[in-house]
Amino acid sequence: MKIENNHDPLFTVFKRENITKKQQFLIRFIAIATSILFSIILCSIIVKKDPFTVLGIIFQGVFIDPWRFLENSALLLAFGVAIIAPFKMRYWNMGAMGSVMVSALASYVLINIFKNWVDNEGGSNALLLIMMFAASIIAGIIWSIIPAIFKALFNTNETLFTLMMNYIASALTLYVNYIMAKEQKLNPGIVSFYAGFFPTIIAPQFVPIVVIIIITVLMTIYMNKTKHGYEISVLGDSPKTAQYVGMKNKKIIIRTLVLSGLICGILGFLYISCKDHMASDSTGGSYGFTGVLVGWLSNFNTITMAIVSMFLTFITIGTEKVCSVSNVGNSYISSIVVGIIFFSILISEFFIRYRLVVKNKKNVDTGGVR
Amino acid sequence: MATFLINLITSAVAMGTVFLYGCVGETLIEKGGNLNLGIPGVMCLGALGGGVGVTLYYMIFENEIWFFLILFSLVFTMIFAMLGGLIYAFLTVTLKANQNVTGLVLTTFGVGVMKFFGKNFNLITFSQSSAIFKKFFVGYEALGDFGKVFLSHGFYVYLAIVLAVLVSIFLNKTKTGLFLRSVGESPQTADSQGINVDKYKYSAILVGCAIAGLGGTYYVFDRFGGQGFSDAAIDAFGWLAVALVIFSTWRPGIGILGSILFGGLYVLPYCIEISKSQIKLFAMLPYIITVLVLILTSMLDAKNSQPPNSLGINYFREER
Repeated sequence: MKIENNHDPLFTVFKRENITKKQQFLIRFIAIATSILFSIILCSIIVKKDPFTVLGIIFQGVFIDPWRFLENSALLLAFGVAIIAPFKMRYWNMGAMGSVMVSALASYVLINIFKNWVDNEGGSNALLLIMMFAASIIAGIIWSIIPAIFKALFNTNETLFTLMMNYIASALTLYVNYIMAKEQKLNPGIVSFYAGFFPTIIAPQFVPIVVIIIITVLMTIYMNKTKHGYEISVLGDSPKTAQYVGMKNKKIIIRTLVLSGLICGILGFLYISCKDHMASDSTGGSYGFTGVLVGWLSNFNTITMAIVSMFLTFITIGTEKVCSVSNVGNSYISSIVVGIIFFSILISEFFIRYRLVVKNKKNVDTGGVR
Repeated sequence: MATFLINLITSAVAMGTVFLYGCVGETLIEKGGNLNLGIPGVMCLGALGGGVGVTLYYMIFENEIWFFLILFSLVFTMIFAMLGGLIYAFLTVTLKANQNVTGLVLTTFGVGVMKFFGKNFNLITFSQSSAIFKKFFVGYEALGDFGKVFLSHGFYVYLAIVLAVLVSIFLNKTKTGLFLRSVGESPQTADSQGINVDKYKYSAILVGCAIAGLGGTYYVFDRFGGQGFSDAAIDAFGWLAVALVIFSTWRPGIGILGSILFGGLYVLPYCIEISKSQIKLFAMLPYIITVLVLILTSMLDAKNSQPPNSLGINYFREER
């Protein structure tokens, strides 16, 4: 702070040495509660209804279709899980969105090639699903290791590289869709209702949710209990330490991004086989970035991530419902609300890591200012 | 062939200006050591501000008066973009929040705010004002091709180039610019020399965001014909602007040329006769080129083309 000025600053900032779990929880809780309160008031001003009605509509919007709520939460969680390993290694992978898009595209192309075979010529749907799964995984891995290879070899800035890969992926998706539309044999849009569909168990959303829960559990074990996970956290904390103790940094970077691409590949496959059944440049939606935020702000703790994902999905679906019943046009209000919530969480992080001491004449010398 | 080239360069300059604004603003911010991934959001907020400015203009004036229309759009764009910058600066400089995360949140927030509130504007007056935005020099037609390439653009194009040159001079020739660069390279050293690190970072972020925001207004009113905000892909341009910073190796002067190249790649498919499918394939080009530049600069590892040393790292005095 501005100590060189003649007048003393009002506050002095100190780093917190120890903070109890209870304090952390309290600070976060206050931040989230305040932001929700603010968001609901904002919503009620926009739609000109009283806040309690708005709150009612939010709950109604979420619980009218609980499967949708659970599926969206699971997808957001999955995007977060896909990036925790790279992020813990301080590899800023913004490219989960692109990887998912490309792997969905791979599955979609296969459906279009083989749907006639499955629908009319007695081909095996199971075989098609296996092929789709393999193609999606390969596509997802390729898309996510290209930047990783250059990061490992030349230390190329991965933040921008992966961002660019997202836009290349969406251009590629549009291109392939166009090509398929042009050739009469492959009819995108006119979807077969059998070929490439995963059989429905309980509900169409059930399989993706279960798969994502399994991935999350496995990932938690991988990050916390295995040697690989430990290497990732050492590399993230200090690349030099990692090098001195004989870890092969380049290999770890590429291996971790193969894993991240693998998760993206499975996600892409789920999008096509269980959810959308077609690939577009909006496959994955805005979850790419929101997933990054969820992962980072949950401090890579998968349980926290699951809670945060459900909470954000709750707010997103709820506010979208508020907009749709009030006829205020598009649903971008949910992006604004998500922004407000994250801003408030970011502010709360400050109070978790630092403490403010109000300067007055009594305690001017305390606190160990050097 | 000649006509084709002239058309191409003219549109390239016009399109590139969107990227140039973002690039110049982001360069200034990054020189102070902050990696602002919120530039797409800031550009969206700027565009919204431009819309507010033009709407207010039509509340006061009835006819289009060039000076006041441009002035209103400029002032409100900068105010809105700076509000976005203020959020970013407060979170990253004062509260020391992670810069990548803060930037992404700002982008989500900015895009949402623009697309939600932008739908209420009166689009008829917007398309009227668009004609004014495109007009600056008069009588350039008499100068033939030279006039078309260099003098046919709107005011915002020339403003962008002037700003790029000014920022370049500021960074390299002035004492304050030197101080700002030192803050970006090593805030500890700068602090020990009595430079107020926080003040420099705040100023760089606010001014940088004000400049970047102009890109959004320029795109909506000049390039997009004032057709509103719901379809404008400003966020994608924002990322290209961030990429252009790297392409230009943190030099706004090179950024001017880079922006024309990026603009050219963007408009090329619409200028040549190719099939629709090829147009879709061409849309990848600016991003692929950026990737290649990223790889090339990292491979060469040139000493003068590196990012500021403390880029992306927050400064806390007691942590050394």
